[in-house]
Amino acid sequence: MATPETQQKPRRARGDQTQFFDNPMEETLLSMVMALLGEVSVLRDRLDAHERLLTAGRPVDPASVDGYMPSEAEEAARQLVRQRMLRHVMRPIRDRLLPEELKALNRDYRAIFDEVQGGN
Amino acid sequence: MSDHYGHAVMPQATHDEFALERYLVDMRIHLVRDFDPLDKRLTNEVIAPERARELGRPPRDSSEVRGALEAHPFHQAWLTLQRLYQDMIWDAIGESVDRQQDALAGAAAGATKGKAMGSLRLDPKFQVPRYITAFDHHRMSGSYHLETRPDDVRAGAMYDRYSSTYHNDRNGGWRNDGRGHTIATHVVSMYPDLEVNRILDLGCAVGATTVALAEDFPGAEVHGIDVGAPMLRYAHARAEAMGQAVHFSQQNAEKTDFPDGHFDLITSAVVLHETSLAATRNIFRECHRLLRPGGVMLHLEVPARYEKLGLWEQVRADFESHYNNEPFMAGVSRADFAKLSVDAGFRPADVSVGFRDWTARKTPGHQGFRRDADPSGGLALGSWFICSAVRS
Repeated sequence: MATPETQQKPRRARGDQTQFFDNPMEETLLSMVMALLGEVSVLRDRLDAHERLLTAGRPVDPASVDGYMPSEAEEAARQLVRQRMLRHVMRPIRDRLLPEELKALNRDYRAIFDEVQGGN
Repeated sequence: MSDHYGHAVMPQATHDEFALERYLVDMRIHLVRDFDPLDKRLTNEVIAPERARELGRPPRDSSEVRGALEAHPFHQAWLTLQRLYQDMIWDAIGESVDRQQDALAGAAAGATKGKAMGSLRLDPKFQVPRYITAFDHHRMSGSYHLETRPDDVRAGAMYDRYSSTYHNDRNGGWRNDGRGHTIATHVVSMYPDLEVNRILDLGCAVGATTVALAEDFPGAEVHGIDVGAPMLRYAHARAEAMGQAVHFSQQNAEKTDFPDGHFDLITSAVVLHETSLAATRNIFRECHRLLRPGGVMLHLEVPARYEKLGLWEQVRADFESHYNNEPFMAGVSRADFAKLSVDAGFRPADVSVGFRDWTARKTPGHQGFRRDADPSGGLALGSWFICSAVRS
């Protein structure tokens, strides 16, 4: 929704733009994946709103979904789903990029953590 | 139907805007819980020993591991994600605020029309200092001062929404008043006999701390100054909407137009790290001038003291100044605040420097104050660094 006003506003923060990875595409791709996950997360929450409206027998239309505010309990449930999505999607960073010695120890921790949590 | 969030001028979120906000909060939680510990282990268990072998001694501080750490792909990913989070939240908030600019302008006008309790004084000729214009602080584009339309409140609206949501309730939810009440706690606990009739809050931004101080010292005449006009317009509307009388003016804390000895209490909350060493010196001197004898100056800042931090904690703190457009954060974490106070004219015995545990409301007789940093070298979240001094 670009208006003349929004087109004037700087979208890129002035200041540091250091390239962290050797190849600029690497940071670009990582950033795109995190942005895409954000879109999936919003989609997922929208689906959740649909399901809850339907379950409650309330009308499902763009306006009712756009105005749907989850209760504390509903938002807590959404957060569990989101945290799981983040774990799944970000796991390759850990698995691929950590040095071997840290990976071995970390896998043990994860296993114990999941065991204690009873899996989910 | 959605309920209105916060005070009358607060930007609101559609379902999807709220969902994106929550995703970003959860992304940050994931980074802190999952990635920070791994980055810390990478630093302490892999990089630091490698450097120790090269140096023939343990690395002394983060500058001695920075090169090796930043050459490691995991840390490169960590840096990318930290910076990406900042850029994504400002983009998300910016889009939401842009969508509702007319509604926000209307709400601001509604809050301030008729008999305002407080006031707003802007200066069309005001020169915003270079330490503000040179950077988009914490990567918020336009920083505190950029104006995009007449009677613009965009920067204030963005900053208020950011403070209310992305701090994940650690500073008092939408009121964002944890710092303000912590300052009040410090004043009434350390200076219980101080008569507070007139307060000045420096770098007040949207007035979250200022309003908290007005609540905690009812009957006091409260002033807030900032360099950003869009922040001040929003702050004025916000204070009116919250039922507090605050007098806002567009001024530079280094040199104000108030008379000598005009205030009983002068405060700043996480402001100094947005300025510079030279500006901080000037601000301290200006505080000395503006206080009446017996009055109190109080500066609250982020609690990281560089020399007391563990190696990885230094790396974490350095991120703010290296990559998060907070260039003076490193300076503030190394500054000798006691010396700055004495140089500004306060007597050494009248100066106090230490860490106050944060309080959700003004708490007289509060015991949670330590002169020394956490010996474990942790980042001391949950407390604020406070330098205070009494004008003799």
